[in-house]
Amino acid sequence: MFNLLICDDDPDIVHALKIYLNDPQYVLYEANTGVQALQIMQEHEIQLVLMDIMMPEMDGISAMVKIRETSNVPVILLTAKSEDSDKVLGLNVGADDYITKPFNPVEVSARVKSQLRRYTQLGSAPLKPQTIRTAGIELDNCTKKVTLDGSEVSLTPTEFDILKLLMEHPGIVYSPKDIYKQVWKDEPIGNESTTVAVHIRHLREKLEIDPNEPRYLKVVWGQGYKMEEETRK
Amino acid sequence: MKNKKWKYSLWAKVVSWIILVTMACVTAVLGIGAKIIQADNFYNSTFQAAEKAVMINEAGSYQDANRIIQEVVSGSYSTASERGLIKNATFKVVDQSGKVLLDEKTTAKNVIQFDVEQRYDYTTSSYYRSDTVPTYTATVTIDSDFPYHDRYEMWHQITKALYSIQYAIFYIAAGVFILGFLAFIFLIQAAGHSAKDEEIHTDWTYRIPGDLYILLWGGLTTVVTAVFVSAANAMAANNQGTIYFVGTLFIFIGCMITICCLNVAVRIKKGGFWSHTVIWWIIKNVAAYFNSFGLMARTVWILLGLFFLDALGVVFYSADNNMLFWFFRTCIVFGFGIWLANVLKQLLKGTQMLSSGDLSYQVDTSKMKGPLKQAGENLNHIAIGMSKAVDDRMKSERMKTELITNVSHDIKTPLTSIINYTDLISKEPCENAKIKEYTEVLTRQSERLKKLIEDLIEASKASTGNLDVLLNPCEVNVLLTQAVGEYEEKFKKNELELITTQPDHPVRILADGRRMWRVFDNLLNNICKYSQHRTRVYLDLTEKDGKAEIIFKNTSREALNISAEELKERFVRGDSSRNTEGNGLGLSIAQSLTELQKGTMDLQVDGDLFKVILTFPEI
Repeated sequence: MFNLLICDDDPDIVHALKIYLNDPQYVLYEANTGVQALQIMQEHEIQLVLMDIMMPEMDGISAMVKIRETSNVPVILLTAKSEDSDKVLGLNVGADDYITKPFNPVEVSARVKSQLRRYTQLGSAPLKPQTIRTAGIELDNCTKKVTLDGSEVSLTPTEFDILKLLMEHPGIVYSPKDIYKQVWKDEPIGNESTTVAVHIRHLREKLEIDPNEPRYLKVVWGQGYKMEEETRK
Repeated sequence: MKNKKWKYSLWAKVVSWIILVTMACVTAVLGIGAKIIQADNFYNSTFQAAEKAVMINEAGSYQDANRIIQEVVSGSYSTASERGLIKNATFKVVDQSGKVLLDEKTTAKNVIQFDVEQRYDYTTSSYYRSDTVPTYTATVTIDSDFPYHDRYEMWHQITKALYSIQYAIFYIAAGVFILGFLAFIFLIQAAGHSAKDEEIHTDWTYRIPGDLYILLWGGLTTVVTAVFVSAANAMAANNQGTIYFVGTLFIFIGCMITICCLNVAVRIKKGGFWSHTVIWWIIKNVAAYFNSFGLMARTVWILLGLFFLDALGVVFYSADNNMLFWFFRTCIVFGFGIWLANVLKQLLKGTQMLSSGDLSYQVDTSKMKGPLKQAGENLNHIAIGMSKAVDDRMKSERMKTELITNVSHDIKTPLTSIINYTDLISKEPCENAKIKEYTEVLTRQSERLKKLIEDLIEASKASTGNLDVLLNPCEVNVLLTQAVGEYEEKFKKNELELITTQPDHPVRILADGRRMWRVFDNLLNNICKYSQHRTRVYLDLTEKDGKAEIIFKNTSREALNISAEELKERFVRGDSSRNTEGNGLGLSIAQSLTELQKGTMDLQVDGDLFKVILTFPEI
């Protein structure tokens, strides 16, 4: 059972979110201002906060700063502000994730699940040998299985090899040619490295909530691909 | 400011005055002493020899001997009348035949003795330098113990003093001079100040123009000096009196000059010394009159003036004159030429900067004059006016962007609910087929609205440059490969065949990877949307003149009855029906983003062939 706090000044949005997050696992609390959110936080043990930024009385950023003074609870900002600078500000002052309105309901529930898993389980489950983990992705080299937030993802052998290469060296940018050489064990001729790009696209579609805004398997345009380094303690 | 009070108090000034006057006098006396030391050759002689020289040259014994010869020969000599001033000296006069005319006995033990020869014509009572005139010899004997107080004794004391300081005298003189000079400097500094306040005080004399004041003061001093000198001449040669008199005059002239200097110093401190002079007034009026002429008239006058000077040079021709004149004229022309060239250079630089778009550059007109200064100032005004216009434009663009962003935020909130509830309706079990159909339309259109709003923000930001662009080295080959990978599925879905050609070696440009991808994304998306199914799409990377060219070629589904220029405009779309998805912002955004990354985007329409060329400088 998880206690979730949904905080938005628009009751229709709160209502819609409550419908989408209607799950026997979740207990939903509702707030319409930052002040109310802080009050509920004091009264109840909350495991995740979904918070709008532009709200009356106290905006989401200020409320989050207050929450961060006492708690490490995951906070997902859910806002109409879609500029890069807004995202950077939100993440810098302590948000764990950032979803822009209008949002995709599937994406919201996936991100909520992911944050909850990380908050409650990460680090507790012992790693099996021959297993690599980056955030929600776990790659088992023995069974050749990959799980995302606990659920298995089916990958082709090539996709598995590419993912393994990138996960073994998080943060390092591999150009399509490099990946081709390492995975195919051959020099690419002509446009053969395009294959790599297609595979990566497929991998992203399988592993990422939003393949165009990847969180793990990042595209460095004009340079290559990399697995995002784990920054959370 | 206690220090200032002390400095500017009256008594400090009085003391300085006293020091200045005293030191000036002492310097003068020491100067005379130094002259005696030089003239009587103190450095190469014993005290006795030096004293003898002083007695002959300075104490006047030479003149005494001459006078006594004259008096003895003409028979008017009386011992008693001479003794008052020269008690220490005795004389013996002998004519050329050896006859003793006068012989005063002396009881002195130590004497300074010398002979003075004199030709004297007693018939005309005049001195001659002719061999026919008889020669007399006077032997002067001075008692070197100086038992009496007389002129010789005074000179004896002076000699003693001078001899003892013959080497140090220059240092003493220099010291005294410096002390006096410091007092002078202090007076100059303190002039006009008072202990009471910080202001510079003036009196009625400062209403007289500066140069006139100097002239009046100089004239007054000259007149007074002239009167006193003529009076002194009339007073005849009373030795001692003359010395005091000349000394007084000397001090008087010194004081006058000092007062004049102080006055000028106060004027300079007060400011505007030059602007309060007759010369300045004349120059100003002449210049104002001259400036009232037109530019052409002035030029003609200057040239006429030069011509007149040339003519003068011809008329008063002489070798020296002409050289001097030529030199003078050349100097003027040279200086003017250099100045003119410098001013023109600055004006040129100003116009250059302006034409290259640097509106913040201002021409320095402080050293310019007349019409050139006006030209410079006009240039500056143009620059200021233009930069103001540009600023206003930028500001209004920024405000537009802000407005669009804010309105978009406000639209997004209700849109979120519309999308979500439409989604919820579509998930509700429903038997009515029509409701299903209507819901689909709602879903599709609300998604389109969402995309439109996002594109609108992006387009307005990109076109006003309100986006951060981080230029990094970027390999175009890789970007192309990545783009193809991303779009492979979409192309397949639209039954399009993608053919890419690129050089084997890496082609690098400076670009912001994310923005660059946005450009590719928009262009490839357009290709998917508007291409005729089952055609080939070409994506080429070529190098040309150090520039990387990325060329997208596709065949349009609809006839493109619209020019390439119009296609780049916001909200203009290739299909006039506006049926397909899209909002006409894609190309506009792509172009703005390309330009933000210092590249260019070119569109070409040739029948149904649609071509986009991106050009970036290679690194």
